[in-house]
Amino acid sequence: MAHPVQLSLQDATSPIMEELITFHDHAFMAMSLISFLVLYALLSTLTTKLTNTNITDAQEMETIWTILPAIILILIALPSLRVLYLTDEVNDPSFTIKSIGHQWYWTYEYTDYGGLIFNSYMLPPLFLNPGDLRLLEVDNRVVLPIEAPVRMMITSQDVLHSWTIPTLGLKTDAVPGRLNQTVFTATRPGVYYGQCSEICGANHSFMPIVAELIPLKIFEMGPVLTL
Amino acid sequence: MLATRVFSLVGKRAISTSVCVRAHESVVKSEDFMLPAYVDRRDYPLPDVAHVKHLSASQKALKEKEKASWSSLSMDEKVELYRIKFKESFAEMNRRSNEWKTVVGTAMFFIGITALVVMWEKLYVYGPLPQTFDKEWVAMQTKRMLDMKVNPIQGLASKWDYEKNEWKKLSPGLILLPVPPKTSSQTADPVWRREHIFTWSPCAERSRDGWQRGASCQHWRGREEGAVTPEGGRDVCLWNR
Repeated sequence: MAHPVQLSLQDATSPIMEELITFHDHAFMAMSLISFLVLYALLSTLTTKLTNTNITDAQEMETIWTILPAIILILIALPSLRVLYLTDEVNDPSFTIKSIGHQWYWTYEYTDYGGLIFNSYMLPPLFLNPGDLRLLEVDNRVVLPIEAPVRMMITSQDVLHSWTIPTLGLKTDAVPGRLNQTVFTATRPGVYYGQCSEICGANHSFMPIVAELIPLKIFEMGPVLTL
Repeated sequence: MLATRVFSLVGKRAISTSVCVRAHESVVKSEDFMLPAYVDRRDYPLPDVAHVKHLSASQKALKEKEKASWSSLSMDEKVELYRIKFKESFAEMNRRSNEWKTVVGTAMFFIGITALVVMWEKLYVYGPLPQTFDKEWVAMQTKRMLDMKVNPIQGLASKWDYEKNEWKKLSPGLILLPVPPKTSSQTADPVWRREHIFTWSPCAERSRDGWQRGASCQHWRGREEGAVTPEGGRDVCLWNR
């Protein structure tokens, strides 16, 4: 989760997010350079003492400032397409979980090896333990294994929602009548938070997602400790 | 007189009422903007007409003298000829002004008024902040985030020294983060469990380390009246009360 006033991306918990962070840094650098150049040109134009009202054409400069941005855009587009196709790769997930959005809570279904279905509601502020995160804690977390590809099938029962965990690099819309798939592999155990990312009514801000990622061996012991 | 000077501040920039124009002579009312006019502009060095249209007798004589050799002109005569042709020199027309002080001062004045409005709002309009903004709650929250190793690579947990149990000594410009509680006994202190946090909660067993949720019964639990123990009050199931 983010610390207060955090503006940067959260640290990666999956390889895809690491790729996304790297691409973000690359695109941000290109953008910063261009912005700095434009700002410099603007300030120079505003503060110069020179006046010349007789320039009619500048073909060489126009050619350069057409070709160069095209090159810069290609240099941004190529890594972008690479990461885009990386996120679409499905690498034989060992486990499938369904996540169903409702107004205003999530339902998780673990039906691969049995039938475990439960709801995940946000904890109201009065129900928090001291030190809990307001608007982020839920009563039942999604418990998932690390270091194993997990497939999430995401849909909705009523209106559009969006299931997201930023640190895993996941955001998938929950569309009623449609099954969307996203796959991830987590690298670190821990508790990771996300919030519904598609406007869905009055309590859109109050249906968070909490994933508890635990070592595979403990996960395989089944739901004995947490319920 | 004062009003005229105030208006001159305004009139110079924007509105051109007759009061503002009369306040100083530099603004010229033009009869017809189609006719060639005189301008003092850095990027238009030779205006379309001379500054002085109607020459006095001495000026006419000077213009006659100008038709002869210029080396016979004195310095004052040259300056006089210049002033007939041009109103301001380049140095005069490009001089700096104090306008920026007016602009910045007015902006700061209105920002100050806005600040007063915001202070009034905070006092009379907004309700209290949620309890999660209390210093103790934030300290517990920070400790929990560090225990969970939130953003351990470049973010929050990477700035915490886990051996020495304190924030790492980084560059001086870093903003100090809230200090998490030092020991668990501090978090069990009755101060943490003030009545305003919660007295009624859904009946939920909590394990000793505090972060897991256990089985839930359908009953309600509450705090025993006046029970403030070192563990911070006993939760009792009120079904049997």
